[in-house]
Parts: sequence; structure tokens; C-alpha cells
Amino acid sequence: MRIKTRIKPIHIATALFLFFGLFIIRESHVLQYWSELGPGPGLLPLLLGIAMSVLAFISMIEILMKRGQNEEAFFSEDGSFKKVGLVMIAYTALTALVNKLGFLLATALFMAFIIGIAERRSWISILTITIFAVAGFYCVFVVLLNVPLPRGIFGK
Amino acid sequence: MGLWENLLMGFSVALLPVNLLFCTFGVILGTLIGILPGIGPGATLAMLLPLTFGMNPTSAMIMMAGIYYGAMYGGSTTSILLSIPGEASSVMTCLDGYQMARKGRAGPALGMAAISSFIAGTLSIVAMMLIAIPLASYALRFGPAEYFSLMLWGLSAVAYFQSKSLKKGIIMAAFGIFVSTIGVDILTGVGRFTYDVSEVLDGIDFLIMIMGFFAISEVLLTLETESGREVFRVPLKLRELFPNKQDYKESFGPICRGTVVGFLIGVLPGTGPSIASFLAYGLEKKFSKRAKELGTGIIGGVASPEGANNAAATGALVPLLSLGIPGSGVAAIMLGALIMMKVRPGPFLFQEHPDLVWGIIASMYIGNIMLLIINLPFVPFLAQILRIPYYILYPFILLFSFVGVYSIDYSLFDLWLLLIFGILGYFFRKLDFPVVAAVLGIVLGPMMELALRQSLILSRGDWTIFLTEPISAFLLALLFLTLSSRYIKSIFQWIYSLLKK
Repeated sequence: MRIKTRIKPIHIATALFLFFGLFIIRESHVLQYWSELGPGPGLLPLLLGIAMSVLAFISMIEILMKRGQNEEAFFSEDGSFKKVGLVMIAYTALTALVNKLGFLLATALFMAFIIGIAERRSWISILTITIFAVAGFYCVFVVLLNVPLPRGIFGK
Repeated sequence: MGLWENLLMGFSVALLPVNLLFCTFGVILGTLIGILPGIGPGATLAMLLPLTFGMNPTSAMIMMAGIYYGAMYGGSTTSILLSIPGEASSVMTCLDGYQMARKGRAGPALGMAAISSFIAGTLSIVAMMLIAIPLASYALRFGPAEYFSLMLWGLSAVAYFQSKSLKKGIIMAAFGIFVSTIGVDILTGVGRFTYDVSEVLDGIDFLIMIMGFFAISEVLLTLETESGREVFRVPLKLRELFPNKQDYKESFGPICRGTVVGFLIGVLPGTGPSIASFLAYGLEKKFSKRAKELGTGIIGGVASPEGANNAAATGALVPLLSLGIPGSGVAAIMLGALIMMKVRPGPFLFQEHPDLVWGIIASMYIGNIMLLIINLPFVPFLAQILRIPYYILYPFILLFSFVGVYSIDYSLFDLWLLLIFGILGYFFRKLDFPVVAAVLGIVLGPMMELALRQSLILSRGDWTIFLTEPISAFLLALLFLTLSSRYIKSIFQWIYSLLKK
């Protein structure tokens, strides 16, 4: 019996779910399954961990046993995943810097990166959209809705 | 109070100026969202949820319901004009709607989409009124065991319908329920999976998962599939918007069939408007007098799926309002909103908050009329929003989600969780792991666990309580049928092939 050995994202996903399920089972062991008062805090996590790990294991076996079926590439071949990656990086940077720089400055950098680097637009587009975004968010969230967004380097 | 008295009370609530305003805002926003590909009612409601914190629950729900069924109206616009479905529920409309536009009949196609949506929406609201109340009354007999079985069946149905792989659906449901267990256990005060991180002691807000899975991941997926599409070109002059007599005659059957199929499918948990429109179109292929011409630009091919998706959107609210079980992913968000606003969902809703329930029902009648009035003459103008390039739109979606999550607890930790859920959601959806199941899991998880533990306390640890209680046993039988239906179908097919031989 031949088993496909090339590792694909679905293999990784099912393996991760299997290990995650086992992790939940292990951690729920620390919590009580049952007490004098009735079901304990570990009961439901135990059931969930068992369900997750069993189903992930079965899925993994089924996937490994599939032979030579045509599958779509996980990432599209036109390179558009690069844009997705850039957006993820930008969003991560926004989250990391928002408290230090303040929301408005961090937003400006985020928009400039997205429009300029990820979308490769002109300087006019970068400036226009960034200014519009920062002004818009300031007016709507800070002025109108009174949401205390992080000020960062602009004070407390 | 009788049905009519309740409905009149509902109209007295829905016709309040503030509720009319929110209804109008909701249906217009919903139409715009429906027109725009790449953003759906789920992502929109997720982004608006934080804004509803201080709102009156009735007004908030009226607005959200308006967005939901408004998106069903709007989704047909790009399907017909550009062969690009604005929503998943409008995919089938592309087939005949775009062909009608190519033949110079875009106006009647748009007009019939609006009229069919109006008729189906109105009829399904009537059906909702007639079904929801008896269902809610019956559900008052439910005890913890029944509730647990009902939620288990609802989750399993979502897992079944939302993914080609039932196993993936159940894994996601389990994942969502697991996330809901993180934090301090209410009954014992013990911290679960907190690892001394103070930010998770109160648990993880389901809004963060909803935003990440619906809004962020949708943007990331759309970026990958929509690259290369720049500005949409929209034809401006559409003078003849009204169908002719022959169109009305040919649409009568499809609208009726679409309404019935759509409503029944919508009531089932986990299905929703997309599946309803597919099934309605499939039904037309079998029963329509012009079945062979479907796909070439016949009016029935527009009327049926458009009626079905609106009927399904209304149908999805039946289990939400009467049982507290959402019938679709968007209804799950609305359930989350009710919980956030400290309104107890479930059969007690009709007793404890009759103004809210009947206000929503009455506002849906009003909203459907508004949508017909807005869509018939104004859709060509509303469609101008398609001129906004997606590269301008999506950063705003990401930022709205960012601010929305931050405004929950002003916590940087929540923003990191949003990022994690967004990236996870992207990969889950790429790998066909249904995120709706996870969202339903995190929303229903606390109630499920409470029901499970109450049942076992009542039965003193005897698990057979779920089988000895008749309603619970029936629901578990439904669960078994749902989970095994694919295998039962295969077994019957195998027996049939054997008999044929």
C-alpha cells in the first residue's frame, strides 16, 4: 500500500489539530472532571479534546491514503499571496506599534505601506488616501464616538 | 395577547422615528454591502457590533436585520450587471441575470430581483410569525437536557452543511467551544487554560473571533482571488426597470417555489441563503416549463434564487428568535449581539422582550417595502459604489475591525488575538475548515456547557438522561440522522446498484 508522503498544508493542519486535541486532553486532566457537586471544569474540555484528536487522526489517515488526485495549488500561482503576506506583515506591525506610536501615526504608516508597497500606487494616491483615512478615523472615532484610541508619542 | 395585537404592538415599536431611522440605515447599508463584492453582511455586522454597545437592543437588532436582508437585495445587482456575485447567495442569479443584461434586459432583471425578493421576504415574514410563536411556546418545556441536545444538533447541522467534510466541521465546532472555555470557570472559580495571563481570566470575547474569522480573513482571501481586478465599470442608464406582463406570468411559479424552498432551508441551522438559492435554482431545472432554457437569460432564473435567498434570510431568524439557535453565520452574530446586550435569547424572548421580537418582525415588513422602493429606482445610482477600487476599501475594513476590537476593552492583547484569529481564519477557509462552525461554537459554548452540567447534576451523573427525556432523545435522533445522512445515502445507493445488477 503506497502512502503519499509529500507534505501538504492539509497534512500540517490535521496534525496540528491532532496535537492540539491531545494537548487539551492533557491539560484537562489537571482540572477536575467530576466533583462532589457534579461535573467539574475539566469535563467538557476532555470531551472536546477527544473529539478533536480522534477526528483529526481519522482525517489525517484518509488524506494520506488518497492517491494522485488533482488538487489546486494552496497559494495562487499569480503571486497574489505576496500581497496577502505584505498585508499580514503590515497588520502585525500596526498591532505592535499602535501603543508606542499612537493610533493615528500607526494608521498613517499602515495605510502608506498598504497603498505604496502592497498595492504599488502613486505618491498622490498614498498621500490622499492616508490623509483621508487618518482624518476620517479621528473625526469618527475620537471626536464623534469618543473612543480613547492610543495616543502613543503624542501624550497620554 | 393574540397574534394581531402583538403585531400591532410591534408596529408601534418599529414605527418610532429612531427605529425607522435605524431600519433605513440598515437596509441601505445592507444593499450597499450586498452590491460590493469582497465584503458581506457577516463582516459588516461584526464591524458594527462594538458600535451597538450603548444602543437600545431593539434598535440594534432592527438595524442588523435590515443589513442582513438588505444584503440579499443588493447582491443581485452585480450578479446581473457584471456577472460578479455581490454575495455567495447571488451566485445563481449570475447565470440568467447577466445573460438578460447582455440581451439588453438588465432593467427587468433588476426589477424582478427586487420584486421577487419583496414577495418572498414578505411571505416568509408571515410564515416566521406563524411558526416562531408555537415553536417558542413548545420550547418552554425544554429543560437542560433538551437544550444541550438542541445545541448539539444545531452545531452538528452547521458542521454538516458548511463543509464537504463533516469531520472538519466538527473539529471547528470543537475548536470554537474550546475557546469559549478559556477563562475562569463560572461554577467552580477555577482558571482554565489561562496560564497566569490576566487578560484571559474573563475569557476571550467572541467578537474578536467573529471579526477575525469574518472580516479579516475575508479580506485576505479576497486579496488573493481579486488581484488584477481594478475599477468596475457600471452602465448608468437603466430606464426600463419594470418587467412586462409576460415576465410576471413566467415568474409566478419560480417565486412561489423559491419562497418555500428558501424559507424551509433557512430555518435549518447551518444552511442559510447560499444553499437556499442553489437548491431553488436546482428545483427550477426540474419543475420549470422553460427548464431547458435556464442559463440563457430567462426571468425565472433570476426570480427563483433571489426569492429563495431572501426567504432563507428570514427563515434563519426563526430558530434564533424562538429557540436561541442561529440558523446561519450572520444569525450567530446577531445572537452574540443579544448576549452582549444582556438579552437572554431563546423561547423566553417572546415573554421577556415582546417589544424586541415583535419590533423586529414589524420592522422587517417595513424594511422590505423600503428595499423595494430603494432598489427599483435607485440601484443604478447605488451601484456607483462599485467604482471604489478594492485597494482603497480593504484597508478601511481592516482598520474598522482593529478599532472595533480595541473598543471592547481597550486592550492590546485583544488586538493580537484579532490578528491571530484573522490569520487562522484565512488558513482555515483555504483548507475548507468552516469558520461558521467555530463561531457558533464560541457563541453557544457557554450555554452548552451550562446545560450539560445542569443535566448531569439533575441526573446525579447519569448520562442516559439525554436519552430518557423524550424531546432530548428525539433531538439526538435528528443529530444521528444528520451526521449519518451521507453514509445512509451511500448505503442506499450501494443497495440500489446491487439490486440493479
